Amino acid sequence: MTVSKGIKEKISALSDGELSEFETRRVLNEIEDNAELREYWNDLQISKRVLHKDNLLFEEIDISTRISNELGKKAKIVTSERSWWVNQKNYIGMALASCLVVFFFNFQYTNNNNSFTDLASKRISEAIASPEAIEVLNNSVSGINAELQNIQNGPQGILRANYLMPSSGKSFKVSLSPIETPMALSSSRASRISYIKTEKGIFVISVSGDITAEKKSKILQNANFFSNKVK
Amino acid sequence: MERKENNKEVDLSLVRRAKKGDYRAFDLLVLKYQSRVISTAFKYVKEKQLAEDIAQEAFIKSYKSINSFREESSFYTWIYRITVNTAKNYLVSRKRKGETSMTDLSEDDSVYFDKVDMDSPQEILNANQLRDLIHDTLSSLGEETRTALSLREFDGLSYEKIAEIVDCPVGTVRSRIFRGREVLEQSIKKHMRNNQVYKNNEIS
Repeated sequence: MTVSKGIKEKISALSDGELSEFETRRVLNEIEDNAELREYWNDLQISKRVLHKDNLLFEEIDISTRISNELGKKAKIVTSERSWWVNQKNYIGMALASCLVVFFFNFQYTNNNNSFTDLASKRISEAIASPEAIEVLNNSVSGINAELQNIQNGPQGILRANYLMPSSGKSFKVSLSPIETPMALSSSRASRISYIKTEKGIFVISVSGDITAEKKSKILQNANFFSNKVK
Repeated sequence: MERKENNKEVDLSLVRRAKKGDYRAFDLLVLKYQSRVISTAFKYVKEKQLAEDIAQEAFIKSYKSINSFREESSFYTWIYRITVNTAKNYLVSRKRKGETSMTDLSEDDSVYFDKVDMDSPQEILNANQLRDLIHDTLSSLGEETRTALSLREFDGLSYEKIAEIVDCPVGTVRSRIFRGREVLEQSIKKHMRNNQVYKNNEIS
């Protein structure tokens, strides 16, 4: 749907509180019928925040649909999939994740080890290639009815396995990181994190997501238990 | 100060519409403040997923009690208070449940991983590049456009005051500000596209 500059100009004025009551109502009607205009409002807010050097943390998260669903307003709000800003981030993330997943399943190591990320990714791959680590990861979710959805990579070689619990629809992730990474070392607090020790080295394991604290504990306990068992 | 007051008025006009049952106005407030509300919740609960849940709950509470908002403070101050209270209540209830230290360990750990995501060197670099870009783009705007946009964004002046200062109709000020924002938005999009090409090349 093509959007006229006139309506965008009005949304720009709305963001400055410069529209009359009548114009505001008309603009809200337009936004309601056109997801692109809603995105324009969102992008306008981001531009303003960039202009004012505001903190851009959590910019990629959009909970507006969840809120409207909870309030039973879904039918009244037209939403597109995501704004261009978020799409850019997701596209890059997906490309990186796809790259690593192929890398993971083929166990092929890149020859270009110049960057730290490459080195970290290699260490992760070595961990995954280690039968002990695979056993620990598999067993960490034992006793929990969870299905592996996909595997993604984070910055500096962090690997995340995303799980879904079919019974409740809730999701969680189990993350793995080499202890050698500077970030892991800088935040390592021995009494506060769990480790997997394999022949390839020591790896940090973490769990987070939309599951109960008890289940998170169980996953970490499983990981610790099986890690000790396979030594 | 004027900018803050002006921003408060912008929000209040949307709040008043929400009070009349217009959810679309409230939705625009959610889009405007969701990342800041999540950020506030995160400071208390230290876990991204939980922070999202608490932010969601805070917005829902605020919508349900929007008619009790007396407009003495800004909408942001109000939603900020609701978020803090929701987060504190969550922490109290968690403490009451006496969750194990192992749970705390795992959540702290997840904070570390989530934080890594958001504070990665690439993210920081990207934010810095964007800010440089904004500066360059503002400098490249025509004087009339730049003046109107700057008076609005950095001095928080109303369109009417800007019109008085630059001696032109209010409608012209509105158009200039919009044009300036269009150029800015295009610059940001171009920057993001280039960034994507660079990333793709890096991957392959």
